[in-house]
Amino acid sequence: MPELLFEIGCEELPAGFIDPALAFLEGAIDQALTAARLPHGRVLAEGTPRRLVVIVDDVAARQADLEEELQGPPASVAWSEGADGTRTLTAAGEGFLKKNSLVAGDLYEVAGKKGTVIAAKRREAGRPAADVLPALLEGVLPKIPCKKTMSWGDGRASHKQVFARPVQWLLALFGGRALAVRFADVTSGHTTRGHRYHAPAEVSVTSVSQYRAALERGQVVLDRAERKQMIRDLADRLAKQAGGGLLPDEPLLEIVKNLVEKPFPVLGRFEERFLEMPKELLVSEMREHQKYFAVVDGAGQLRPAFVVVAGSDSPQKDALAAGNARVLRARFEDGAFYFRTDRERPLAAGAPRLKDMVFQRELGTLAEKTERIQALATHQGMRIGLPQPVLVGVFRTAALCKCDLVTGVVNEFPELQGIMGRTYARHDGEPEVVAVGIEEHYAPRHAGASLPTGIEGAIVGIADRLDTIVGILGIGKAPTGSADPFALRRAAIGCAQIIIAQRFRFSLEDAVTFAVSAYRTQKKLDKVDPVALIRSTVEFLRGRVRGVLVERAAAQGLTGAEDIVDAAMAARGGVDDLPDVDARVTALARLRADQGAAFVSLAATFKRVGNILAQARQKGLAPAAVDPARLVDDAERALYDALTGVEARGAPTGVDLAELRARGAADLARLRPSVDRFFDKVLVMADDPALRDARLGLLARLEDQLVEVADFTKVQLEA
Amino acid sequence: MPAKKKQPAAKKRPASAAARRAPSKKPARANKKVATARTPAARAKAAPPSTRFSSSTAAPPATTFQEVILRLQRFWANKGCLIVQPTRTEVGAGTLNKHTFLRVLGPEPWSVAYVEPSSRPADGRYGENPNRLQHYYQFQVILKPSPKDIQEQYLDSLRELGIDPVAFDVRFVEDDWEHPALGAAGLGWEVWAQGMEVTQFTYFQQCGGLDLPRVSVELTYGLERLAMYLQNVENVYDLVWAQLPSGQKISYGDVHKQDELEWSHYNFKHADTGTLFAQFNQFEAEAKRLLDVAEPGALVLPAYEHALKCSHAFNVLQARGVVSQTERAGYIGRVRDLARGCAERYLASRAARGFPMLTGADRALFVEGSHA
Repeated sequence: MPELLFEIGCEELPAGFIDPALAFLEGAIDQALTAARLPHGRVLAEGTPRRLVVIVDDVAARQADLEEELQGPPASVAWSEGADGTRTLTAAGEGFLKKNSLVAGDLYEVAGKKGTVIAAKRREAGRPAADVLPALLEGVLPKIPCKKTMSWGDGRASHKQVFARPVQWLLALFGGRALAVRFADVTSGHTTRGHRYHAPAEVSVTSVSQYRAALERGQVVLDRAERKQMIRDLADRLAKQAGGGLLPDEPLLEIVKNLVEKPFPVLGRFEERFLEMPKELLVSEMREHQKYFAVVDGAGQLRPAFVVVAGSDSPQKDALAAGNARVLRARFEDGAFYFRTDRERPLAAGAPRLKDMVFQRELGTLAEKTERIQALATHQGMRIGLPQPVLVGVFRTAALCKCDLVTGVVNEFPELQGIMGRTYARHDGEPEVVAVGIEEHYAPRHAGASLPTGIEGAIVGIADRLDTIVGILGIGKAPTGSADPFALRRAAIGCAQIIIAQRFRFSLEDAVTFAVSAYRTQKKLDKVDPVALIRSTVEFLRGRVRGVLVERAAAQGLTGAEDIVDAAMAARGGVDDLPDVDARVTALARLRADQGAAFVSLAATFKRVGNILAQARQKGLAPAAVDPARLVDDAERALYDALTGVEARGAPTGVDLAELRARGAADLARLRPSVDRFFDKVLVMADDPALRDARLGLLARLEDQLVEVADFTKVQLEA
Repeated sequence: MPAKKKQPAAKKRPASAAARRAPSKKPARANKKVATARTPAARAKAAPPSTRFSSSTAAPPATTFQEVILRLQRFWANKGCLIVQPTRTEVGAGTLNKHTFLRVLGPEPWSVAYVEPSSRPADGRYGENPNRLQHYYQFQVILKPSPKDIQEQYLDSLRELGIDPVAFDVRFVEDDWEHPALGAAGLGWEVWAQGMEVTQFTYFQQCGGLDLPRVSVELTYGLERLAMYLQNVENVYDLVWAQLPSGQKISYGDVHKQDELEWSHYNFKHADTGTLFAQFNQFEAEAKRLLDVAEPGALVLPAYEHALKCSHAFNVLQARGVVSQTERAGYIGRVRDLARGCAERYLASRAARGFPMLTGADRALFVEGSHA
């Protein structure tokens, strides 16, 4: 069956546009073909900075024939019956005919959803695919996702078309014949072009295999994965010449593969003296502006070399390497200048200049934010009982955490915030924990990144994030849908991850309350109802915690723990004490993993406890305290004894939280046989009110133990 | 304020051996046709080995600063650009020259090329830094509407200077440009040669807060950088500006080093901030007043020049370090309001004159129902 080949030739497309555009094309063309009744094989979208290409195998030569039933208005509305019994079409009936180009003879009646309606068959013979495809492709093109679109020439006035960059040519072939597809100011033909410099001539092609051969001859590697692999292999080989390997940098690789139609990596070198600067600064200089790959030795130390991926096969590789090295040297000199001048003054001297930097218009400057972070971090530190010397470090970390934002290097490379703070703090002789804390208060820097290792960075990082969340929610800018300009969701997730990982036992609500009061002390957010703000912030945090808990369970091999997380979050303590919630999730999920079917019956049994009590309470039967003297049956006495045994044991001391909660879960598991026997032998809702109340009281005592761990009604019983 | 990003450090390259060997002095205009008419194999045979793959060959390198300017002027004049002269007011970039800022508005065609001496007071380094200047030259080209083959035209202009795109890995790297103070935005690239940005290449989409019905393309060449590249010098002051018939060489330093020293002292230490703040306010008031003149209608061009003076006063104040981060946004907003006012009034003034430079077919496209 024929193959479809479509190529959009463009002026150099933005690297970040290409992958999403191709992903879209693959899906959209597939769907459009199906919707057009054109059975087809695999849809492949590939591209380079100068072309987006779609190749579809085995497209049917004709559309499938269409026969569908069109239903119209109710028969009673479509027909009017004359006095003589003849029926004529009403305006509604005529309208249905006209709209669908039918004649009255086509009509019949059929039972619709709301009674009898008029209907007709619409038959449409399939058209040749070649006739359908141009409009189909033209329909898909304007929908290609484009963050920023542009017009060119007289485009806006003449053809109302915009795209990521100007379109230069279109190639559309179906079964070897050219299709006439119009997009922007171009009509498609049967020619393509190779590399901009190496093969600029137009080349006529009549098949996909010819097209691929033309690209190969034309120094174009269409496949993105192949370009990526070429860069990796060639660049790594070059890096070996410089006594190292490539510094792994997947995001950079993703960009660079879309900067060239075919990669021609070249090794460049720079002077050893630059290695005195922080590695992160050098790497930023190389990657951000120049898109060069850094070279590291086995120990991860930078080598004085880089790899630039050229886009054409320069006959003068040495000159090219030297030219790129010269650009890099000038950048390093600039960086060295900032690095030197930054260190002429201590990091702390930057603090007054934070008064000039606005955090958010309604929430004040970074100096004010720093004050709040200091207060909140200290408060949290005291809540978890940090010793005085550690508190001093926390306070100092908080005071300095934003100071590097006014340094020259961070001004030039915002992504080095924290890293330069750490470097400068060390240079100033600040305590090591403070230097590390400054860097780590930004951790985790992105999803999946590492968490703070030290207490200082952890506490200050939590305070910084809570302050942002409270503030932004306070000014009514909660994230909506995919719009989260202040990255509040990420901040909340980061907070939860740190609190749990560090096993910080404090009340989330208390922390939020303090964060709100820190704003109010500064006469900010004073028009907002503080109670409502505290509630909405806790609610917002709660919404992010669930995902964190599920992920943490999954990371321990306990997948599918969503219901257990919900059950644990609905326990008595709610989500206020995050490490405890996490420990209970782990204990229960592990119990389920260990016990399998037995856990299901355990959950069912405990669910039953909750259900009986709920029904009783609905009837206004408040369970009284249990009077053991009133219990008559062996089964209920046995349960009473087992329960008091668990209660009497109390919380063991000297074991960690995880162990504590694991034992708690095991205790509950051990109670189950007694509970099952109780339900087998005893009717809770006994006729004797005193007996009934005693039994309800017993169950309430049991529930009291259960809700300490989880709300078992939320556990899924299906395996 | 600066129209573009901070002028990155200038760099140079070794002279091109291939370029020196290249046979043709005039490769540019015929390139495309030659390229499309021949097979790659035929070209490979015909071309010298070092440029085997390239679609054309480069001219011998322009060896003086003024030669770079002369060749670019000649090249773009041949492409149909008017060669005009710089504005008489200080500007941070060629974009602020009325030949760009005002002329890109509206439907009238406009193609122009000029050198713009650009003032960036904060970038001065007392003549000591080999790459940074408080006064430097841009070569600015505006083509409206943007031609279909503008990338090829641009590459030919590099070849005309002696830069072979293959040998020097000339690439178009995404660079979306935005100038909030001018209400201007465009999409395009920074053009790299051997990893160095040599030109900003922008399709204007918006200017003065107005959408542009006809898109202009703006090419901004960094002249010092290109010349350092071509002359293989590390220090801008070592550039040969001209070689006189007597054989004497005049350097960039001979022409500008004293300026850089004196103006750096002025911009960083001696400029009277009280005067500058007062000037800012006066220029702003004057610009506003001129925009509101009723008879014979807004005096847009004088108003715009006063807006530029405001902008420059602000730039010097910035260099003096007396504008705080928080105040900065306020000043930029005031300049933006002036720029927008000028853009709107200018467009209205051209419309009132019936867009006199608009010709037949274009008139039908852009001014429907008008009496062409």
